Amino acid sequence: MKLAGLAQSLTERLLLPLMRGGQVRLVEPVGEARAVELSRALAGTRLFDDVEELRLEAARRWSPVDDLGEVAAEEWLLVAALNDLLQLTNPALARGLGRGGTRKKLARLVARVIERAGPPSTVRAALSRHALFCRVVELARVDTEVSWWTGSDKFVGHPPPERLLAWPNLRQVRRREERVRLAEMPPARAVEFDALLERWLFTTPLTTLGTSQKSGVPFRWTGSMLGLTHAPAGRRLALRVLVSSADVAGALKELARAAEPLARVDAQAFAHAQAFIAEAEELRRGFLQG
Amino acid sequence: MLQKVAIHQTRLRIPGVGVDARGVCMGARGLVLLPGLDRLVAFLAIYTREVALTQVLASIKPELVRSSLGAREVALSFDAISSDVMDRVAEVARLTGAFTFTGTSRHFVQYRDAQAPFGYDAVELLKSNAELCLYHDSFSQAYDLERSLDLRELALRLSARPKAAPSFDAGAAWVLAASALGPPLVRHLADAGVVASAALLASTSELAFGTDAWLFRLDSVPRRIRGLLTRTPGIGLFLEETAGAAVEYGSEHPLALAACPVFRPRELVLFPAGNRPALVLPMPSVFAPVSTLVEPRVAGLGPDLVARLSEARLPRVATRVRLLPSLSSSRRVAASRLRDGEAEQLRKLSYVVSPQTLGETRIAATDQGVFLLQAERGQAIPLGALYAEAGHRIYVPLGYELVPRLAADLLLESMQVPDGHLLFFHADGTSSAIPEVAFAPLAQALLEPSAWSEPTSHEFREVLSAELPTLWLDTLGLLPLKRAGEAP
Repeated sequence: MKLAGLAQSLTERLLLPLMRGGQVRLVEPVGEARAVELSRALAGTRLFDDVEELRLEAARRWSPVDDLGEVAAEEWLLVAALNDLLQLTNPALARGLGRGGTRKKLARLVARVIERAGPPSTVRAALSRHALFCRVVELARVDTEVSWWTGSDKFVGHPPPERLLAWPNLRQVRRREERVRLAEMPPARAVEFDALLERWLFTTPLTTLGTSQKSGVPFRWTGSMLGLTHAPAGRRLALRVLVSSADVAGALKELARAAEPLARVDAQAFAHAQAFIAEAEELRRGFLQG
Repeated sequence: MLQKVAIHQTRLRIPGVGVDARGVCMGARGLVLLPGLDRLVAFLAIYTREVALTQVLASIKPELVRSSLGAREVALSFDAISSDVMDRVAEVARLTGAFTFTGTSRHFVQYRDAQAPFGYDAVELLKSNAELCLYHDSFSQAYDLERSLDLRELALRLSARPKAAPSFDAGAAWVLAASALGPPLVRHLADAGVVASAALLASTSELAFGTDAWLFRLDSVPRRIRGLLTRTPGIGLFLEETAGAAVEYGSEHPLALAACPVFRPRELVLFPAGNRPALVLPMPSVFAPVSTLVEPRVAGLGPDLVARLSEARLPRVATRVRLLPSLSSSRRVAASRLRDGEAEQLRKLSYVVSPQTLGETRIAATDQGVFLLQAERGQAIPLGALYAEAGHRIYVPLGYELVPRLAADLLLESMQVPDGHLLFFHADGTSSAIPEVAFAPLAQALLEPSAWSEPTSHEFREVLSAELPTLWLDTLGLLPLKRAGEAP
């Protein structure tokens, strides 16, 4: 697949449904080499108006911006990394040749891509990443379990074939659908997924902050988070994201819990985290009283 | 002997004489002593040239007086209305060799002159019972009245004298025509369109025009008939000097008759040329317009006189319609024609004219210029060559009119102008026919659509209706990572 086709597929099958809502159909694993190539080719271009539009629309929920600039190369790396990360949950990955080695290799590639992307270097980049991936924790997978009079099967991430559902009464067909959250998606064998998901989420600290209650990934005061909240603009932005989250009180408790380990290793970071939590708490009270 | 009246002198010896407001010695009447009748005529001629006798006519009394020595002189007495009148009389009298006196009844003293600005007073009164005692610085004389003179008689006895430069003043005229010349003259005046009325005079022996002379009254004498009236024997032309008196053309009366209101209302005095007496005619009570005196002519109808329509094509008398400057009062500006840069001025002017004008003024753009049909009620647009309406669908330049004056329909038909077209005659002699449908309201024609753009709007989806992202996992084949490799 050529780069242009890969970029279009990633956009139309992954990024746009993720931002807009709808069916996310992953692209075959991208790998590090193509991800890097893709990020270099698409950096500084505005090929996908819909992506720009949705990103700006999302960003305006937290900041009155009119232009976030083009989608950065690191953000394209994160898109590719997210695609491959989600492919780790795909049972079909284990059906090919190589089996367990394939998953490990893909996990390694994902880790390298995430490492290449790194944390955001500016507040604008943090906002842009959050605007792109703020709905990633809403991503769910529908698993369907079908049983009939002679057997049963489970279909992960795609519907069962019609033939299995035929003559439901005669064959005593039972169908049960289950929505699976992002953190619960990987099969039992994919042990790399959680760590990679955490690393991937830490590359977009605002998303981590705003989705700590839903992502299934415990919040941590990472360096990127502390750096973002040190900058006044980033601090205001982080407060807005936090206050606008679904469960502010729960998020604040999560932040306070995550800050406790800092007290032992870095008192200054701990004080900073405490001040941020206090400010957020005061802001929340102000909202409640207002 | 006389003595000069001094300033502020109030007591005078002459009875009936006092001092007026200006200190001038004045009596109730004035008197002019003239050597004879010829001097009287000269005095009146000069005086009437300057002033009308209306003021003093009622009191003027010319008398023939005789001195104790038997010398006859003329005394013209009148009411001394004011010293101004007396001053003018004294001036004219001095010019004609007469003396001026002032007094009341019998005693008259010399009126003031340059030597005595306040007048004179007699040192001693004449001891005489004469009817008139005159005191002059060169003589004091008593006169007896011989007889009174009549001014009217005097005026009538004076013959007209040849005039140096005869002319026709703008006034009425009388024509006296012999009886044989009356009817032809009536027809001639009627044919010539002269406003005149005629009367037939009763036979009088004084008339040199035979019996039953014709008298014509003309309001004016047109130039075209002056030769006829002045050179035809048997016809006399008299120019009216004043009401009731006329002098024959080429002559003048010694007196200014207009200043001598001595003529009676119901008579007409004609002063003929030459040494002939004045003709006093009773004014005819009936004057008939000459047009009514013309014999009616009945056209005879005969078979030869009836015109027959020729079957042959009638010869056409082609007459070109032309524009001529009109002297009639200016008409309403109904249309205008803009050329060259005037259309741009119209664009500027359109910003200030009223909405009514914009709505009612209609415009048509042609290759011969931009034509405007001005609003009937709104303000006219003062641009370009202005046109007035000379008839339905016909426009001519303002200040011009079409000749011959044909009916509008006939003109349009003869020029084969299609229906629904407006015909414009231009000052350069050309003409244009413009379809009426080509005219659009000025507001519509001036409207220039502004560029507009529709801003792109973003559709914001409702948060509650946002669809959740759902992961769909496809099969990956036998080599899922066939394209996924590490970067160098």
